[in-house]
Amino acid sequence: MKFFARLALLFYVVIIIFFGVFTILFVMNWIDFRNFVVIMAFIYSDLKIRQIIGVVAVIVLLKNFMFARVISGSQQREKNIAFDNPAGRVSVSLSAMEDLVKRLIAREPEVRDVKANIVASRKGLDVTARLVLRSDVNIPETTSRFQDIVRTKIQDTIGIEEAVTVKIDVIKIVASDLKIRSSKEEEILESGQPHRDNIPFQGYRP
Amino acid sequence: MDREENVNLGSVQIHKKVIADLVSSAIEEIDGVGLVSEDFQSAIMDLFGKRYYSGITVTVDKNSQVSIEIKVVVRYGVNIPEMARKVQDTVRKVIDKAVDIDLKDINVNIQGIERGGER
Repeated sequence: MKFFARLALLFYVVIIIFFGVFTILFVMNWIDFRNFVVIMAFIYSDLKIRQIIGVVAVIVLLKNFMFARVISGSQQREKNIAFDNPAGRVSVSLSAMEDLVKRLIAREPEVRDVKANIVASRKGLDVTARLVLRSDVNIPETTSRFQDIVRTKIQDTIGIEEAVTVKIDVIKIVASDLKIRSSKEEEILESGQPHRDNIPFQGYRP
Repeated sequence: MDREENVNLGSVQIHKKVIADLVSSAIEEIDGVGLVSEDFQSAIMDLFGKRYYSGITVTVDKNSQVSIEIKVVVRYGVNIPEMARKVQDTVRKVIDKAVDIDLKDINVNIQGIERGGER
């Protein structure tokens, strides 16, 4: 499959170079527009040349489809954790594991948002979780707890014995909803104005 | 002198789609697991009235041994190795019962964790 991936790469490089060079030559006026029109008119008028170009176009499209499948397939294969059972191989997609980590952390009340990324290496699994935390959180304690939760859950869920490294990045801290609400209430009390939501028929015009 | 007579009754061919159908039915019976959702190709095939399982690939090698690859989504909270073994056992049982083929591998590929269920 590596051969096909290289062939695909070569194919796209050649096509992109061709169109790039052609466009540059065209805009620099190094290709005479009339010659181009003459060639196109010649192709258009000759049935055999049209047929040949049509066949080439179909082959290029099919190859393109094939290469896309090969490339996406090889990428998919790389993003798996695999282990063997007596009945056959079991592979777990890393995106599934990322989803698991996301859900695991997102259910914690201290977390507002979470993004997870997992990389499988020879040493084991490297999990990176990027968190948006609510304020009033003891970050070292909370992140340490999350690391334990994620490591234990991954090892329990997929039953691997390799090392699971959990890296946590706290990318943002936002005010918790309760804090925002209480500060608004304080503002209302200080101003002596009742809350607008409590006034019936607000905006009513006689 | 005994004379041996061989009577050829013909051959039976089992299409890969039949095996895929059996696998699909077996997966439906298992709680906590499901086949991956339809992709573009299966939607197109469905339009033409052809059943196509994007999550099931059946391959037959030179020695007529059959390998099955099943792409599944599991429910959040299940133990993946246990679930994969259950899928492999159930599929093997169903295939052995329905068709007498030389089953080489049943490869299970967990593609995702299903949303909903346990939080």
